[in-house]
Amino acid sequence: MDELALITAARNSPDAFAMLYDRTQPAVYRFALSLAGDHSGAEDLTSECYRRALTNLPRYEHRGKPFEAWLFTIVRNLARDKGRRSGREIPLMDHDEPIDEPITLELERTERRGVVQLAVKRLPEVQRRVVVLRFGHEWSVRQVADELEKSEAAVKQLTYRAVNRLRELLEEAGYEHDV
Amino acid sequence: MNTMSKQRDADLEGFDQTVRDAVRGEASPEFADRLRGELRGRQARATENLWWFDLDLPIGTIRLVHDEQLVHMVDNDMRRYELRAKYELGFTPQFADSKRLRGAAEQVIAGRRRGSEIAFLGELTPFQQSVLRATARIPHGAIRPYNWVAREAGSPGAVRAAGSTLAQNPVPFIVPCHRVVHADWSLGKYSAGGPEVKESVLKMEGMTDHRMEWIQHAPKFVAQFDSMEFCLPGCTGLDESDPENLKGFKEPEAALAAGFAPCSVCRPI
Repeated sequence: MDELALITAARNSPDAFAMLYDRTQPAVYRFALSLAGDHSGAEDLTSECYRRALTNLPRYEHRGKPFEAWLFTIVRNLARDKGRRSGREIPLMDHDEPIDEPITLELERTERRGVVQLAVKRLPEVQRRVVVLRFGHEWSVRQVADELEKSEAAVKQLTYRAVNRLRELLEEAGYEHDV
Repeated sequence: MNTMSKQRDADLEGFDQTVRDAVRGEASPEFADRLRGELRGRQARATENLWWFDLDLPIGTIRLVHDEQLVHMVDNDMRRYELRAKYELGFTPQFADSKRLRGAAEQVIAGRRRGSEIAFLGELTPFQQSVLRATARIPHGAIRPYNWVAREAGSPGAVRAAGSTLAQNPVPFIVPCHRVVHADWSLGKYSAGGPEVKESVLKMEGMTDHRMEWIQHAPKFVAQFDSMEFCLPGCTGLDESDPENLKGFKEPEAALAAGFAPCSVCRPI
């Protein structure tokens, strides 16, 4: 079923809404996690996003963008609203863009995840893409290999190097693993 | 776990959970399923896609209102059911059996499955949901005091609020509020028909007058020598047939000092 038909069906059918949820939830959750920084925050944002989507679905208008974009907007607004209420800005972490600054964050408990995300950003371009595709977007070795036009063996090798580099970066940042 | 995620986990060996989760960014399956059920249930209520079927139990017939996956409302009194449908749902559901859900409800009532897995609790506050989920963890045949439920729900001070949540349990029998009693182990109220009905539901689950009396006169904590654990008297893990095997304690510290571990089922402390 194409997305528009599914959205129309979801207005009257609990099963269609559940299907819409199944299709979009992994991406929405990952996006919420990047904004909230921890799983409990991501769960709150994701739950509230879909509750609002359910209420506002009759007013949703399809303007050519994927449905996920609408859900992302709801999550973004919720996160901003939450940040305003708690009196602090929530940093936007998007590990699709590389940065070069050194990691100088204090290793507060709540910032541990931020440190990991910064470390991912500091990986060399190709390694970062492998990490994001393999672990973030859950692609198989085969899919990543196709995307990067490399052999599966090369992707495995790159994963190995990326993971080692990530380990070094985390050590440099003073990251201590929980036991 | 499938091969793909196994391979991913192998690649991330040596990293702690924070790193794994940060690069992976996956919702826990429990959370994803629960939210799915909540959303599906909310939409079912909004679009009037709820149905009912009856289950015959030794204590009488109960009516279950459902969305084909979760149970939204249970009642054993048809007049009260009509009123609740009108005011809580705003419409009158039609009859529709669901073989799958009927089987699941029977398993829950027989104690082979946890009721919170098939209960729609989406309209309740987070506190109320925790209270009902804690209640659903009480095993078939066991009883627990209200303060235990409040503590297990994460709010040890909210004993009264836990009590009023249970009094308004939308899905009795599925979430076994009849297994929650006063701190002195007297039965207390039961919204599905008073203390007599509460007693007959507990008896349906194997509670006897003899065992009830034993529980009410037992020490606050009861330790067993064969398991070297201590329990609340209402725990099903206790075998009161051999008094030689048991030792009572007033304080949990004394039981711990005597080398007994807290029972992991009834969680006495």
